[in-house]
Amino acid sequence: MSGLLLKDFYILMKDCRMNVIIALGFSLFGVFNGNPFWVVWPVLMCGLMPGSIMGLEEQSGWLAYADTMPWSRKTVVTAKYVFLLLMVLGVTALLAVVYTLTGALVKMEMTIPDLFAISLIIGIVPSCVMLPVNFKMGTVKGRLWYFAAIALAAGIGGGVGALLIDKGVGMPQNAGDFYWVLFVLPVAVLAVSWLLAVKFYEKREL
Amino acid sequence: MNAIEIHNLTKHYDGFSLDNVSFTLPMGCILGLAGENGAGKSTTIRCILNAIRPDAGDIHVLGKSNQTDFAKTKEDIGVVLDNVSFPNGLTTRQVGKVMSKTYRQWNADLFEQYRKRFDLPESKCFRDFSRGMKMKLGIAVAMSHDPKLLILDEATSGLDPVIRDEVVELFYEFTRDEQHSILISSHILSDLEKLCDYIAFLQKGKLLLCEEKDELLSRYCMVQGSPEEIRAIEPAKVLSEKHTVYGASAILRREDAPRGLQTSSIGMEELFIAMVKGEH
Repeated sequence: MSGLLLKDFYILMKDCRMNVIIALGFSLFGVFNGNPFWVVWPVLMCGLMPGSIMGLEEQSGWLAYADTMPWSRKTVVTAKYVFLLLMVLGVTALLAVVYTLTGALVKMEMTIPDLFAISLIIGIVPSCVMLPVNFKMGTVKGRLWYFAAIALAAGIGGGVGALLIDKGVGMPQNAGDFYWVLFVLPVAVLAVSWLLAVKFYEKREL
Repeated sequence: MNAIEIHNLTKHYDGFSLDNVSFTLPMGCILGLAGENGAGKSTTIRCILNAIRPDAGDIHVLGKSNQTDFAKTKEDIGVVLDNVSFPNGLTTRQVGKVMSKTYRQWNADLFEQYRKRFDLPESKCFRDFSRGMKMKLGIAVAMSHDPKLLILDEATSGLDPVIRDEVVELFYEFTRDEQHSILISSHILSDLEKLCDYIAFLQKGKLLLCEEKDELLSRYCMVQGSPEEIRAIEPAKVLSEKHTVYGASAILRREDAPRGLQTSSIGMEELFIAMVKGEH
């Protein structure tokens, strides 16, 4: 699998370099203005990078060629998810160090676990929605599905939120007791997404 | 042990079917897969590589089913597809590094030798390679991890004649080791004639024949004579015939050649064209 990860790293540095620079550039804004939005944006961008890399691989015909090499389909899928985790955790760790050293984390009224919780949700969940479809039908359809799913989630979330506010339902008093959900949810989504992606990709004809 | 064994391979698509194909590639031999475009050569190769799922039949590669732990078997297989496709942004050096972490038996020195032999630039991106350069990189990768079996799908197309000759020689050298075998599909029949021990002809998804090349070629001959003499041959025995202003000729089995007519040996290309036209 290390060959696949190295290949992803080369593609990232060559063809997605600008995305990485923009993501890191955005994160610097957080140092100055202390707005948590600047945590969300770079992590989201980095989380979507495996999907972007897969799109480039598809364009070059690499996926069919990789199938002739000594990797199982399961390994090819797993490598993408490992790369996703490395990207999200790596960027979050970098943000944690920079924001702690510059005091930006205090300005944002966040702790390091808060930062990781937000990163895991924002960085991992969107990619986990997209990757199984990418592996089943290709990245073009995967992207359409991703936008449709995000629009649906935003619509439902917005509707439910508005309804709750309308009814005067606020944040429960014991919300802190469910803090662990922020960590368990992305891991569960990741596991289900990976299982689906393996199943889809093993059946796909290349 | 056989390098490849295919039994009753069947795969249906809309408008095309690979129909009950069976053949064997013995270890240490080269088998050429010949056929028109769309005859089913690439489909057969993709089934062997497990890239597509056959509707029926079974395939054994290097003594093991390609449905069982095939990733491990692929360590011993070098593949060059008609469209060599590495990620566009990777350079030759980076491809070498990725492959060194992919194949357990990767030989970086050998890869470097091929790179120099094929005159491949070290730092140029794959996207900037010509088709010939892409094929050469594919061949270099396929041969740098001590494979026992090479599967080559139109691997010599896109190469200039000098390099093509060198590559064909390279493949020939490869099979000097009795444990090495090659399955090669090509429409450049002169390459197949030069290289192969066995020839399999595919036509519209059906295997017309799979035989030893020398035996096959010795079985057929070309007879030349006047148009009347050629027309006098029983039509059922004639594989193909040609009439020109200079005379006429026909391809047929050697034992069917009429006495008194001049006969000559035929090449793979003539036989292939005669068979395809005969089928049409």
